[in-house]
Amino acid sequence: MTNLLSLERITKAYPGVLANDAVDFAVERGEIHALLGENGAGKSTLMKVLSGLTKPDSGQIVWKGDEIAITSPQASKALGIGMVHQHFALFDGMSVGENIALGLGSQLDATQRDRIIEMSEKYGLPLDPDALVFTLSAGEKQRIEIVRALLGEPELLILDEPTSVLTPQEADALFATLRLLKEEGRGLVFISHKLNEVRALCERATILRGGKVVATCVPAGKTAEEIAEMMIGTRPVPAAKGAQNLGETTLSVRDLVTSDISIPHLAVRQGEIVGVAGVAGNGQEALYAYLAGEELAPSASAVRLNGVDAGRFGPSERRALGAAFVPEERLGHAAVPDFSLIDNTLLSNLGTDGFQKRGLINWRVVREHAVEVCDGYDVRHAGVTGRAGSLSGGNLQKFIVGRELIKHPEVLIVNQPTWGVDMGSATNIRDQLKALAESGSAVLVISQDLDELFDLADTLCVLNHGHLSESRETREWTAETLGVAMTGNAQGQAAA
Amino acid sequence: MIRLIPRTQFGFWATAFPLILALSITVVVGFLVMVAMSEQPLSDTWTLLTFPWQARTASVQWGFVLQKSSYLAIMAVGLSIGYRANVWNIGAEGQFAFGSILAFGAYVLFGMPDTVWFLPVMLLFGVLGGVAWALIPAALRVWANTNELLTSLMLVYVAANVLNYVTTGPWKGDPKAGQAESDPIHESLRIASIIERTDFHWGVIISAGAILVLACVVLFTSFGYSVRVAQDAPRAQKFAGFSPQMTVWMSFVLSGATAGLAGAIFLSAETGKLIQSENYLNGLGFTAIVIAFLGRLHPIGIVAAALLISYVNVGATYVQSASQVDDSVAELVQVTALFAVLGTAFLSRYRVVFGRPDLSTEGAA
Amino acid sequence: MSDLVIQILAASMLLATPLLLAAIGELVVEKSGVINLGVEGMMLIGGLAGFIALYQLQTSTCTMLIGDVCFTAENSVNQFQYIGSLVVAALVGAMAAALFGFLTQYFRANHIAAGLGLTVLGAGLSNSLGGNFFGVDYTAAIVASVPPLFPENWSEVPVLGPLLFSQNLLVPFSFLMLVAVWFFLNRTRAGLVVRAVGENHHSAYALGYPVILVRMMTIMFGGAMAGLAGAFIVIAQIAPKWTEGITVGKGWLALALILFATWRPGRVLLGAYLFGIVLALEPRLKAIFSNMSLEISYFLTALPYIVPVVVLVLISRNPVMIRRNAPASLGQSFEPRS
Repeated sequence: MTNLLSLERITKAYPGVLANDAVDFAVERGEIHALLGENGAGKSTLMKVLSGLTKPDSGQIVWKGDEIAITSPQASKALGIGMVHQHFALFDGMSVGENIALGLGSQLDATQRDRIIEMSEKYGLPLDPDALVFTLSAGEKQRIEIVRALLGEPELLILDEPTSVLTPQEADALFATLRLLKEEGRGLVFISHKLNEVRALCERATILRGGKVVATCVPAGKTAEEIAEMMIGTRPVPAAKGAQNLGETTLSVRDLVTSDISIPHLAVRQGEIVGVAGVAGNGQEALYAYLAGEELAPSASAVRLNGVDAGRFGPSERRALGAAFVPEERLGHAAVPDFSLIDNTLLSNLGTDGFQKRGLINWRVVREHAVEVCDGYDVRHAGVTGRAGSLSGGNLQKFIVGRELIKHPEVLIVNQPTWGVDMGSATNIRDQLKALAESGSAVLVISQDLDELFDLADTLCVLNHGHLSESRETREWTAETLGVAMTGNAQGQAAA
Repeated sequence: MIRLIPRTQFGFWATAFPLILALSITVVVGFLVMVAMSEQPLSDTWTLLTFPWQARTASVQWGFVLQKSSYLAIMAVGLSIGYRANVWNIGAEGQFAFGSILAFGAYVLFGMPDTVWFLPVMLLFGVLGGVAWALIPAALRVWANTNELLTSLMLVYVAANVLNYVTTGPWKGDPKAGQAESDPIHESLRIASIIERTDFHWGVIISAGAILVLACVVLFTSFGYSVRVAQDAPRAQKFAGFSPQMTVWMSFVLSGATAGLAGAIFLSAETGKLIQSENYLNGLGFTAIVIAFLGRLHPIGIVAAALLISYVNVGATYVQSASQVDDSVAELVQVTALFAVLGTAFLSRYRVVFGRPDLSTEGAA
Repeated sequence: MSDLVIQILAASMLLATPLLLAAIGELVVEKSGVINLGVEGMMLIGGLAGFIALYQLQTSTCTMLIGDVCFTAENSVNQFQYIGSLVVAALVGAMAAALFGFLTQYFRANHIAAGLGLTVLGAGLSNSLGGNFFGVDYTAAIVASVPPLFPENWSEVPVLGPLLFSQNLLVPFSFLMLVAVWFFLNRTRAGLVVRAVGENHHSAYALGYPVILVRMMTIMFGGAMAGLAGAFIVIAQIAPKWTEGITVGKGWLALALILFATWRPGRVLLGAYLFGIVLALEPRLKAIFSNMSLEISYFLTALPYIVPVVVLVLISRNPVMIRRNAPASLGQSFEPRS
């Protein structure tokens, strides 16, 4: 049987990254093909090539036996490739039917409505065309995207992380729909982190790591552990890190339950680095926001800092208790891109001694401090008056981390410390974090990079579907058990 | 094909180039307006540009310019703080009116004291009046999530009616006057001129002082800093621990205070009495909004813009009396300048590049 | 008493029509995600343009011209001259709006600053051109009144006469446009695209819709409607007469009206007539209750500006209503993400 689509030796380089390195990938008719890989493995680049958003540097795209070029999203659609994106391109204030009509470039009339209802019944995707999108659950929103793609009669349907926002019940319903589509002879590409789902659903799986295809396998024939290991790679046995000379608990969370996160218990002691592992989008942002005081916890006692109930405190009050924060997003959150490094130094130092005198900012002190941060933490810059946005990712991150470390915080909370940072800077930042912990501070690192966590953390826990697991010493975890805890569904994880 | 590429570095030229371009556009279009409106455009333009030296006494003309620009600059600096943080108080005209009303109210309330020492009290009440009127839209925005732009604007017309009411009702003065007006305040409470027979009075100095204080607030306090953060990166504002609500309150307090102060100075220095709104409110509060944007929301830019626009305004009045060119030429020049500044502002954020985009080198995800 | 009611209703129709026209236009603009605060300016420019056109059209048929005063054979303007002047008003309004459109859409200028600038421009330009446009001083020019749409004796029909038959062409036109805009926004594909662009310009762009082009079109439509509203005030509300700043804040009231109506055409109609009745009542109440206290009298004058504030507070408490109807990307400059 000929392939519906085959990609041959697709290569795509971005400045500093080889996103796809001679990737081969093929989908047959009537097949659900999983595309697996960690963040940054090259999946999204491959999808951009297929949807016509990016042209590969080299390699061939063969569609139904003919070599073709996909020049635009419209061309991709016209070929018969449908996409269901992870981030919905929906109009929240409008109705379901209107959203679908907009995607198809038609008017919402009676025939269109009938088609929507017909399509949604046929594939088990119940939708009310008149419902307003902002009133819908994530699962219902996704159905809109799927129906919208299906009404374009695609022969190949690509689903990017379709279950990341779904409840297990919604996910099961989705799988039934996908199997139905498969029976009709369509090809499906299923991009996911969730290995149990992939094993249950997909005929074949292609695994990417570092822009290369590392394996193509039949997922049902492998254990989740084996697949996780292929995705993550074999790791050196973690050095026997662990609890030594740990002091009192200075950061603790107890029964923090909100609409987007549930943390039964989390404690970080002096001298300890606790790592929070998890796949992107499982509640890391919310965890960070509640710890940093950008979101207030439901009760003051939910978050304790240095022995004080701080759940209802804002960021400034928490900083006054000796905490410091490094958010994930460098530009626009941790730093203002259009501000100079001097201006940015002030951002987390408004309460720091000496920065303000009688209500006025002492810019001379701020400037000296900025220079100290840059010199002390190896920030390569064209001058402290230069725009923060013009620094490379690594240098800006060193600046942002250095800005907190120079204060020698008693508690440091870091979200994705080295995301998108070059190797040299990443090593530097990790060494600095270790040094801080050794000097007796409590450090919490939220990261998607398992290598980083094994390197840094004394204790590890996993965030999955907004739920934080029990923490265990790092040496008790293996890449496999961690992979399963990160990728299993909520029940599977409870069992692990 | 022309494309815009975001700048990586904000150098001197990133700021200077758009301003020079805007100024050039204003000069060219302004001259064309003059050509359209005047019989002898060259000599009238020359008169407009050099009018203080053409007039009998240059100091009088300069007095007009300074006086007018002081009202505009102080209100515009106050407004610009909120605009930086996306808080839209466009009701400065109403806060100006209420400042005047409360200043006069204090005068009546305290038994019309005839001493210069009461002047600071009047100015203070002017400030309070402006703040009070500005707090209405602020409170509605914070507590009821109401669009402050429209509420502050609607309140301009309400304030105008309050002014009409007090001048025809409780504080009605000479019934034989051709307009509804109050009795004049005592001569001792009139702000004195610094230079005899000119409009260069102590109110200009008070405004300049207030502008200096506000500039320090913008440039050297954590509030001013928080406003700048809010303009560029709202999430970073949260990271730093600032409260967005506080920004709304403070923006309205400061812009209301400046407009109220301007209103009180205006009452004391210019008219000496309240007059019905049609003849008292002359759009200074609205022009101040234009000045704020002309000055790119920066205190120095605003002062420069206020001086420039007042110069053209006073010049246009002079030209009108000298050679029958309608003084709306000033408004047209002002709008040209505003549109030129707005239309070129993007050049400080983007570089203009000619040529086709190269799809393959577009940034990574 | 019922005579008085009819009289007030007829007067409120005259006062509501320009509000309705301007608000319908701005409604479409805001539905596409643009806020144009220049309504007042476009009304002034459009109104003056319409007046000039009417004057020129009429003087071209003058039988006798004494000074600036024109005497025609019928001593009135005919319907075609009136329509011609309205077309000019709409075109000039659209051109003024296009200036705003270029600044905000292509040069990414701040909507609020550009809109306020347009208002200042409208005031300045109409003041200078109204005083002298190719040698004619339009503040002194006199033009005969526009005839009602229906034969004159029809206006004597009770109730319907003053309410319907003696009204000007633009009154039924405003109703027609209201229905047309409702139909356009809710029942046509183009209207769907306009709403999509206003709701989420990034998604609309990603689906291949020309965000900037759509917005330019709506902005120019809004300008044309504001021009008509201005022309109505100058030409038809009382008698054709140009004075400086003749719109006295009606443009701002039209803007408030849209918020009052939470972007729904039906409620724009309701709001326009509510405001119209308040405006019409005020002088009459003062005339009837001549011993009314000064406080109440000024409160009545300020009422058209207080009511929108109160209504805004009330509707802003209902986030679902705002979410359903308010364009989510209102006032944001569109910059395509790369």
